[in-house]
Amino acid sequence: MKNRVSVLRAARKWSQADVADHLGVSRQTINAIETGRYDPSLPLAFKIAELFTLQIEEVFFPNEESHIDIKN
Amino acid sequence: MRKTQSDRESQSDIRLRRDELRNAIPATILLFLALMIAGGDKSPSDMSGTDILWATLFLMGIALLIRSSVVAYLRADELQRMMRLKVASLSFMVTITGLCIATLLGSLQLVSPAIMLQGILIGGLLFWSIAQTVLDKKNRS
Repeated sequence: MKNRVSVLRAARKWSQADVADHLGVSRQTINAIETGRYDPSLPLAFKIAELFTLQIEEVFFPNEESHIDIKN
Repeated sequence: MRKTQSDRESQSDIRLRRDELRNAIPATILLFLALMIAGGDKSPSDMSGTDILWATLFLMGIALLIRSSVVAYLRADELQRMMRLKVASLSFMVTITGLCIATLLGSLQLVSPAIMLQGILIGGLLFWSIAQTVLDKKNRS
């Protein structure tokens, strides 16, 4: 899963620690999410989207290779 | 929202580390005392009393260590919980492997399993804390 957290954060001139404080998580969690090393849980992903006042799909989106072929 | 340096730790990080340190101090003191008693001179007359004291301190130390680990786990966020579970399962695997080897060596009458038991336990705890620190440092960058 890819995300725009670092871009959105930089646009607001917030530090990773600022975002972490607002979400009640550690800075390393924000760092891991930004670098793609960790995919957050759905509740945390919703909280991140809410912090940036965006829809979840505007912050998180799937990798190109993760599309599912639906066959009847 | 405040504009600060990007490498500043979050309040959650600071709180977790402070609590972890505060909870681990009594356990460390008790285990250190138990180690001192075990390593001290034992005269045959007070052998049983010393043994009881050693066992009490050791068990209390281990109980406090487990308590501090559980408290730290409950206060950690989702990524930290995942990392802690990974490290705990790895340490468990290392300890179980050590116990298997000790049993095997014991059955071959090469080494007394009772002697190896303490080493395996301390080794497992050491592995746990080192692996936790390494994984923590790796994810902090």
